[in-house]
Amino acid sequence: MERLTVILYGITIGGYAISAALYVVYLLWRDRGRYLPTIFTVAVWLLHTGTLVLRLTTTRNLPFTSLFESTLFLTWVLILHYLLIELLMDLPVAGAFVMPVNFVFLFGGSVLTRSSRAIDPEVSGVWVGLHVFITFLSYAIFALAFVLSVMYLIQERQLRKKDFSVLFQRLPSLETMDILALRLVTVGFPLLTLGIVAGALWADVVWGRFWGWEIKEVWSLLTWLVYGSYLFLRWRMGWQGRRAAWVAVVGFVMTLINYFLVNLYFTDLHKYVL
Amino acid sequence: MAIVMIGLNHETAPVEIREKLSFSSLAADSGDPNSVLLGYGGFREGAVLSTCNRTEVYAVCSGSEDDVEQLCQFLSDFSRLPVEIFRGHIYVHRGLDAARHLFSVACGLNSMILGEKQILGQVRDAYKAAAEADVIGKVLHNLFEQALKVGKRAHTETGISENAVSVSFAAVELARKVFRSLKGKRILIIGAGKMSELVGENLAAQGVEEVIVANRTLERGQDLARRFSGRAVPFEDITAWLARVDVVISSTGAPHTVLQKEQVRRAMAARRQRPLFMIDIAVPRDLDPDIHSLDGVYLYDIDDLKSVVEANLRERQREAKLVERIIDEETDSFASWLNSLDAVPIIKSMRGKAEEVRQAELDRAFRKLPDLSDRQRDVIRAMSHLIINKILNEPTVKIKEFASNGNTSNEQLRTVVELFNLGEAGPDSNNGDGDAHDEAAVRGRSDGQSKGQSKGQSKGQSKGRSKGRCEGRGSDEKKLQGDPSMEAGRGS
Repeated sequence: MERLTVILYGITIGGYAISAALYVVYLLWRDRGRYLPTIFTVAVWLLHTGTLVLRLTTTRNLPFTSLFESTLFLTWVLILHYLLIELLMDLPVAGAFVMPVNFVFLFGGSVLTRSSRAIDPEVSGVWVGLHVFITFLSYAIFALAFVLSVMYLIQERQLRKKDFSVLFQRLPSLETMDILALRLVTVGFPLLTLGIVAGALWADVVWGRFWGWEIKEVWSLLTWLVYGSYLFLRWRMGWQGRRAAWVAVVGFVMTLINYFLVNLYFTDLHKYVL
Repeated sequence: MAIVMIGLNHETAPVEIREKLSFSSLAADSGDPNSVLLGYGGFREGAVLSTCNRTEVYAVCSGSEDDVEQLCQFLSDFSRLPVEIFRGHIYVHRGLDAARHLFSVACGLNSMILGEKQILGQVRDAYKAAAEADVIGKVLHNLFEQALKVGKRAHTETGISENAVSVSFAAVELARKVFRSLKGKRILIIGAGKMSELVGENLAAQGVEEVIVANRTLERGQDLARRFSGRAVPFEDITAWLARVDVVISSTGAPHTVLQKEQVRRAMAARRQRPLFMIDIAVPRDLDPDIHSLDGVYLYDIDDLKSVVEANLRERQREAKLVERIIDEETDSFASWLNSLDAVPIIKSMRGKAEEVRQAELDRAFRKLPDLSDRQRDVIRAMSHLIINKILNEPTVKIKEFASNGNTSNEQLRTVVELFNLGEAGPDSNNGDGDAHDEAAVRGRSDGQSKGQSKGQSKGQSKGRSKGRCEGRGSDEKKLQGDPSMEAGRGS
């Protein structure tokens, strides 16, 4: 990456760290303005957008050449979604949970990566862009569903323990978080499905096969199954609340493993240069 | 011009004294207190604020020494209570300290229930009454307007009045941590007692779909059900209804539990994990506490509700610090307005002097030039007027500026007075010891007068002592319409 983009990325990451702090302060102390964390985050996100665009126009390469770069793209999608949800649902308290997750991504992405390489021109193409974009969309949505499920579990625990702390007062009702998590997975699941299908079509173009039972493929399928069963249990079996929230948590942990560990250590398909 | 106030409230005076000094109970035979007040001393403006927790008199005086004595005399004459009896319970604030005091009263910081909103309406009423009696001038007018603004800011910008501080509102609050809204939910009330009626009322006000009442004696259950336009069901059907309602409130006089864990477990199976929210306000308890351990069931008893109230009060105390900040800001802005009043006499006197000179010189000129036509005279008059206006324009603006950012011993203003040799119009001579009071007030503020007060306040709060006839948690439970807070109306 060029020097300028590296610096801009650095500022972006630092900015997200500050917005994480602002959201947490808002959650626990609600000291000053309700809109400060949001406005700040929007500003950082715009900078983030600008950096991605700059990167895209200078290198004419999709921003997936390293785990670090693809993480920057993934978190861009995540924050975009979060901001939309905050806008639609008026849920600024969720920011205090989303921003740390965002940070885990960024941190993991920058620690686990060393250098970047251009995507093999042989495998590059429209499909790879579509495949990655749609999959990341679903990851971002699952991250939000995870956050809401964690918030649900915390609030449920507080209701259970009769712990009427500040956090208890700030967090919304169980029903709010439960329904929102369900809606998110309902949107994210078809996207994951599409992403996997796009990947398979791409594999067919490049390697002449749709599916090879490679570990990346298997793990993705498992993740897909977890979210599939989440929806099945909720829509068909009437599951809700705590048990459903745990399934969403498991699904996201699988997603994280898929994204970080499987990509880095166990697969050749998505391997980045270490 | 100096603001002075005296008052007593639930912290400083017992109810026996408060009720005798309450204007609402006296006004009938003694006339309107607002108009009577101006008959005393040298008060130019006055207003009385009277609730059952406080009686306060605000006045603007010309700075006479015995203004407080006059105000006490006024209270005494009005209540026919000798001054000696209540003197020990009176607090006095002057100048900015008085403004600050009214601001914190308006925010509910001095109320028995911290942050309650009713007092703001009572401040508004007091303001209106005084305005109608035509006894307030621009100082109190401004003071009260600003107090209302401060109160509003406190409620919208901080959480001082958020979160329930009564048991029955705590029940609603808890329910709303489980359900997003109570719209479309069904409530089952077990036992048609007074308490269940109260809590039921609060929940029903949230727009519930239906209220079902199960009572041992069906008739009483029907009475209560009618109040909520709900329906009464036989006591034996409770278990069947458990599967169909979302909220259960239980408050029977039964000596043993009326619902066991097993019954609820079976109901839950039929509900397919839809959460069930239960409130047990009976002592001894109606619902087996073990029910709470069931997945998807949330059961709270009276002690839980009380601990919610306590947590909320603590929360309000934290928010009170933010309110203090708002009050600081607004007191500052009121102070600069008050100071800008100093500018008025100086400007007036400066302009008056200029006008005098102008007239004298015009007369002289006209005497020397007797042949001038009317039109020529008019032109000269207009010209002289314009010259004066143009020369004095900037000093006028500057004086206002000096006054509004000036502190108590305003050197700049004094210079202006000396520069134009305005003599008697100076800031000192004008409102005499008013400035000294302000200074004392500012100092008094920082070394903790108001702090001490709010501390005493919170102590009174958590102990819930000093029960007036229209306050305290007990009566809170009986009223419960609208705001949970309790600085009840003047007319009570």
